[in-house]
Amino acid sequence: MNSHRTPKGIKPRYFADPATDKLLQMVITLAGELSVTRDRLDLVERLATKTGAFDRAAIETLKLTEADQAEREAARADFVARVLRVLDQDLEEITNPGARGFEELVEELGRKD
Amino acid sequence: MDGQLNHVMVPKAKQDEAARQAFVGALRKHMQGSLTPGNQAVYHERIKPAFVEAHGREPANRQDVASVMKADPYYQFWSALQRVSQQAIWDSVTDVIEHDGDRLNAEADMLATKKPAGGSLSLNPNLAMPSYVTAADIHLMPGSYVGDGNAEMRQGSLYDRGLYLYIGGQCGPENDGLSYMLNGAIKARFPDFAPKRILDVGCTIGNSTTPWKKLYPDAEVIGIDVSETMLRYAHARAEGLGVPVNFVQTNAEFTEFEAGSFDLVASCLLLHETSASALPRILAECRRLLRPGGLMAHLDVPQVLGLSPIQAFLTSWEEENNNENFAHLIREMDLPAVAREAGWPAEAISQPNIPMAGAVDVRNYDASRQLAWTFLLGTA
Repeated sequence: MNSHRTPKGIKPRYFADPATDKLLQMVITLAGELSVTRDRLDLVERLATKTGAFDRAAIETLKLTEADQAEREAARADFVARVLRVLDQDLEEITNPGARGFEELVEELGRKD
Repeated sequence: MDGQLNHVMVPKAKQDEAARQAFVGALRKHMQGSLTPGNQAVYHERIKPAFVEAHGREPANRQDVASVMKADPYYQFWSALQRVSQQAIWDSVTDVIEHDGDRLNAEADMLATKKPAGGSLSLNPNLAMPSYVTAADIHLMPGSYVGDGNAEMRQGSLYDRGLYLYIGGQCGPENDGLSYMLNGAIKARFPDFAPKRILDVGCTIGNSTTPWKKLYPDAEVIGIDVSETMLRYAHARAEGLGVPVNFVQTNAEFTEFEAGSFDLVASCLLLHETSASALPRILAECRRLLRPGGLMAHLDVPQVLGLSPIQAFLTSWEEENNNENFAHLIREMDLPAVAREAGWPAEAISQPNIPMAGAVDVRNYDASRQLAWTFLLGTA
């Protein structure tokens, strides 16, 4: 997740407490990730049923290898970073200050030369 | 993949990435279908009565509505969700482009070399980028229409896929519906119109350019834009789609084309992303480029005039929250007057009404005032 993500321009606030704005973004991101997981699980279960690959009881008894564990940990770290990405914006504003305001942008675009 | 045409320049999402995009689509569909119209109910049942109580009159304009609506908890959540979902669109495509960019670049190189459709690309590395393109990231798309200013396909591909998600596929599998609508409006007035040379102004990824070639196969179709990265993508996209179009990097305010060399000069949703200085220059340039009998046709966002205060306020969300800054001004401009000041004769300019399809109003509060695209027509 190295790409530039925060759009240039004003960062509007919607709630009296800015924390609420961030929390909303986290909630929506979480909802999205849950939806993604359900899609994948749905796919796996359909595939398993279709191919007769396993019965559901096997899920409870499977032992993961170290490599399996590492892969899972990396995926989990990516998940957490994604959910908390909104907090990175604060840091980006510290390292890259000086965003111009809406009125200032409109004034500039409205200026006749 | 959803309904978008899976052409070679569309970024290839993995399973979870596609699911993430599908979730954003579901979220926005839910908002458009039920939460957005809810603003009308909240306004009429809660906001307006309180305003009347406090001021002894009804809200007269969108500024009046803004003064009270922005403090309402329903609107606050809706507005914040709009912003969050808009950013989530670009995030969901950026994920894909991070791993698919090299493939896209390789495909584009191949298409630009072989030119299977027979189109062309002409770049001008010395062209200055207008400030209205770089002032803010339009639609919150990180990097806007410029990206890093290099030959990478990532920025164009981000826009192509993100645009489809943004409009929920409403402009068709190739994101090209607006040109067909614009052509329909032209044909309603001029049934025999058959242009031989067509200029699509501010074409970005060419999604509004390729349909003109499909509509008029015998015509030469040229798309212009200021952004090299958009045009490189547009060229690859058109070649991949098998549509021969010529793309040229130039500024619509002052192109290098000969005077009187086009039958149609058109744009889709360009004007509201320019500036008060650029707008009259673009309109004057359109006039210079047209042959006698030629047509200028611009399609743009709804004007404020004719909307109820609440409609005017809700449709202005994009301005302050989605970096469509100049829309704040152009939506209140008298466009035929701007065209006249730019040299167009009064009788040559008209602004016909094209109703917006699918505008939903819960309880039909403002059904009598249907949202209409702005359509500016000029006959040379």
